[in-house]
Amino acid sequence: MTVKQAECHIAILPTLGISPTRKRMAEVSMDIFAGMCAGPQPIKLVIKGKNFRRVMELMTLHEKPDADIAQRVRESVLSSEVEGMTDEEAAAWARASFVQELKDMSEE
Amino acid sequence: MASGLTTAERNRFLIERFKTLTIYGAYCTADPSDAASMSGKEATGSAYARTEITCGDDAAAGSISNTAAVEFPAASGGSHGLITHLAICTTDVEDADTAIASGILTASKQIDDGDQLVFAIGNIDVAIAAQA
Repeated sequence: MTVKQAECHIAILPTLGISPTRKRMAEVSMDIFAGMCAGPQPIKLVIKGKNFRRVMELMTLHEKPDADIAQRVRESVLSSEVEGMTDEEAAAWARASFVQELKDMSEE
Repeated sequence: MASGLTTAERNRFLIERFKTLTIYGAYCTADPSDAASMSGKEATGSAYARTEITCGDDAAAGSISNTAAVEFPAASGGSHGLITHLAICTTDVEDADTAIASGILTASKQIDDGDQLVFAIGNIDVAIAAQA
């Protein structure tokens, strides 16, 4: 067997036509969103710096297993919204709400 | 005046995304691009599989790198082609569009039957641009 060594250096760089500060925020957010919005129509967002921590929280929550997300929602003030739902349904509802919150934070 | 994310915030992001979460390397014969589209670009068949990447406990100066060698399965029964890019994905399901980052290999590698692609410790690094 031949072992071939490789190197890869990945830079997350600004590419959008907006101010330098927001370019970075938007670029990072877009990278985050690539994982949340698998599908033919990725959502374009511009996130303010002050919301960045919340974006990360939502992203981390979004990728947790269905059962974990469902449990969080059932223990929150939103528990009535998922009453009677399976874990899978509750998680789908929560993930949709995460995306909506991100849209609400967007400047576009 | 400098503008952009602080170093601490860049590091926090990198730790959240590349250490706290389980991430997988996926090698490709074409650029997954910003669209994170893996279909038709990721290697397939001949024992190819996405492989977990382990990153360090902390990110320094806005970058993070692998702390264990990433050893993909050796190609078996055929070629994986000329590998040009690596994507970092959130699942090990092949062809799923779950890439969160991607980059071009410093040098493309032809992976033929029996060849194994390995990234040594520190040879995958992800950086967020510093303040301008």
